[in-house]
Amino acid sequence: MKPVQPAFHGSKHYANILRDRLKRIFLDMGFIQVSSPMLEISFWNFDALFVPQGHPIRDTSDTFFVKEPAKGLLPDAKLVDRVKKTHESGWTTGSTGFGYNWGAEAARTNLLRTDLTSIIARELSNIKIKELPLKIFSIDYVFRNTINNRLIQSQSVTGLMADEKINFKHLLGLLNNLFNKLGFSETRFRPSYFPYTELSVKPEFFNKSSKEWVSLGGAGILRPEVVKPLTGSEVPVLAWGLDFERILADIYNIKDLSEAYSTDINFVSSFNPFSKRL
Amino acid sequence: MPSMNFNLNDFCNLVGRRFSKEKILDKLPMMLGVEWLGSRGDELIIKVPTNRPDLLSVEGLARASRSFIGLKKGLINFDLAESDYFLKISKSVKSVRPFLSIAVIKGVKLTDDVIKSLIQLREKLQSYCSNGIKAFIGIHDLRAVKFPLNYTIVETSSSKFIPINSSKAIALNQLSEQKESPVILSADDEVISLPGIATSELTKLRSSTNDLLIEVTGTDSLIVSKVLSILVASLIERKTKVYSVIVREGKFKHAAPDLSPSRFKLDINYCNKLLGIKLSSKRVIGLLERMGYGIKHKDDQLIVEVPCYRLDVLHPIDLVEDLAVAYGYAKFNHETPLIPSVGSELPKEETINLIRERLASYGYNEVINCLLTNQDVLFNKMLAVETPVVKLLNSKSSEHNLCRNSLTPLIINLLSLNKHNDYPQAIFEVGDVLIRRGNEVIQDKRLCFAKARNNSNYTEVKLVAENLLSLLNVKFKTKDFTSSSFIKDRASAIRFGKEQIGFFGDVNPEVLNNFGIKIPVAICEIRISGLI
Repeated sequence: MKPVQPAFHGSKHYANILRDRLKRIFLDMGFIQVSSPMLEISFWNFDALFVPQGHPIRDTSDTFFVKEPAKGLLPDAKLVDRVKKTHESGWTTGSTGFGYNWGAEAARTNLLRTDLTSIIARELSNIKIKELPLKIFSIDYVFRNTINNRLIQSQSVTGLMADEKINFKHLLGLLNNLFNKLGFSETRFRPSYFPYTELSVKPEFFNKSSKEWVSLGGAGILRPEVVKPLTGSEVPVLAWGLDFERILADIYNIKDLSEAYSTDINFVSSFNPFSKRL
Repeated sequence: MPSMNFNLNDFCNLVGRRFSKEKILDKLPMMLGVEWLGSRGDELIIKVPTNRPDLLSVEGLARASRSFIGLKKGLINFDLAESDYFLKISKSVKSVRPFLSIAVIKGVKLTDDVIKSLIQLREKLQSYCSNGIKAFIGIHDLRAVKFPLNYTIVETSSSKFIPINSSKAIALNQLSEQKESPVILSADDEVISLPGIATSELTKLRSSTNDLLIEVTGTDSLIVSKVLSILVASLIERKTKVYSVIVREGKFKHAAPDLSPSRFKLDINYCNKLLGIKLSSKRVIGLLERMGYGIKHKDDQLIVEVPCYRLDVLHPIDLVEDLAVAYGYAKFNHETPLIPSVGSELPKEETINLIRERLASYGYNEVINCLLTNQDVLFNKMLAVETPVVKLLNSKSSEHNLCRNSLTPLIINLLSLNKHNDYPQAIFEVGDVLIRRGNEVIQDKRLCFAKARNNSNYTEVKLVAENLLSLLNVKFKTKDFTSSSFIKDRASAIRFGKEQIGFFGDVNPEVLNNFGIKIPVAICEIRISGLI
């Protein structure tokens, strides 16, 4: 993209301009914005999301663990007990569980959140079923311990919709509306796997220049083993976590994702915010 | 997600139908959730979802594909032939590595494709099992194994064996740090397997091998039995025959392996409600059979038999997903959820946005720094006294092992990365910092802005700060601020009531020098969490 004018003019950061746009879309659709701490305990990042302790996904999540302070405090003991029982034997969710001994100490481990799904767990633990529907979203930073071309700090666009009346078709409809508003013309939904959703969906868009399907993140219906211990009920919950930088790269034509957050001031202020997609 | 290599021709032979590379490339991701990594000629590479270790071999992939396209639907019944092979599990292993599963496979033709696939499957499964801790796999040439076997504990200093691919017998304590270790002993007391570490050279597979003994040991009973099932089910695809081994544990005897399916109840209405479609029970049964399940039913209640090699089915919901995959995600209508509600942003976002707009209107450019930084940027170069910060345990980069507790050092650092650009430079950031008080961590929202230009910038930064604070209706006072990061008498603390909420001033030239900046910089940082 050509510089609009070097230096002298002030500007909002191009990533924040997109963030504002995404926020507006969710507000238009009646969603409530929420936030949660960046420094999180394993309980909210993994355990409450039915990711078993010692599961390969915990290793492959490139988690930043915290040395000081190493441990945090667990929430309400009743909630912790429900999560423990669900992991061990399924509790009353109709699941078999994983058949291992769940440890509270490991759940207290401090880390930098690897995903915004921790927000989903926290918010679900606060809702009252009488207050449905629940429609929330968050756009915020997550952290991955990596030295490859991936970013150690990136943003996730996460949200959920909980209501007795919703189903899988609504999940696809909602994501489709969102992608239309962002100007993605060709998208598809593919089967995938995430530990906390079943059905799981990988939304992808067709990149016309590279002629490839590119992932936009993940989505699905939360597992009963996630929803019931947190809410006490089995209400359907649609959830998604989109890769902010993939959207950013497509809209601003950034070729290399690791360059999504440049430190060059001229580069940062040269983006044209007068895009039809913003 | 682990990767898996396979040969196109081998795959087609196993399925029993020819496919073009393009066809597979198009279909597999939509039917099994695998992803493409690439191909080299007829050699294809895919990524397999973490929950489907049964697809980590070309045999498993072919089995799933064959039933998906309807060539052979429903549950595969595994014929288990009886035998008098015998293994005893000693009490002593209980506390270390209690679980074992075992099978004999006969009539294996170890062609290149079979060997490659078997080695790959063993490797991938083992790394899936925390590198052999949860389950370790030993594959032996049956001819070289003398029954009965004994799974027991030995002292590592007094036991020897020849590890695979070596020629010398060595003491077990050269391989294991433990004083005692579980082993599998053959009838003549030779160690044939040292679980978690290696199997023996004596029983290794050779080109003449036709019959195999496969044993899996580990600390997780479910994983041990599933891993063996996956291996056996893969080899059965190669037209082999499975024999049981009689396992005695104390007084109890059973025939291993257990290849029987598990059973789940599934209500058709539950499926239809979650999917938002109306499928008849006949249709549901047909679709589930294409995913390799066996079905027994009565009206709308199904009993679904889940094959032994699947370890991802924990709840009826997992069957609903497979049903939707077989139906085809692409066939679902997209329905806009018409659920009215009132949206709202976080209480402080609107004000933060106004602040950002105001700073942009003053000619400042917004930047985004990383939360993670290091001792050098945060304290040393700033000539600042070290304050408590959140420290990371396992960062792969020494550049990023602390969480920032102030924006100022990172803003100065960013200016140091822009020395090649024209001056003046004016930048700002609104971002979170982590403040550590003992074991408590507070996430605090900060605003920081800086001006770099040839003469002193103190007055401009002061004016901007004062203007912003009065717009926010903050009754603030300024006081002298002493900090080695700033020029003496050219820095002020911003106070609100009894609290210091920020500071501004001309940065100490020595600090700028540490960052390699040769032009004066004035900077201001304000805690906005408490003000808006």
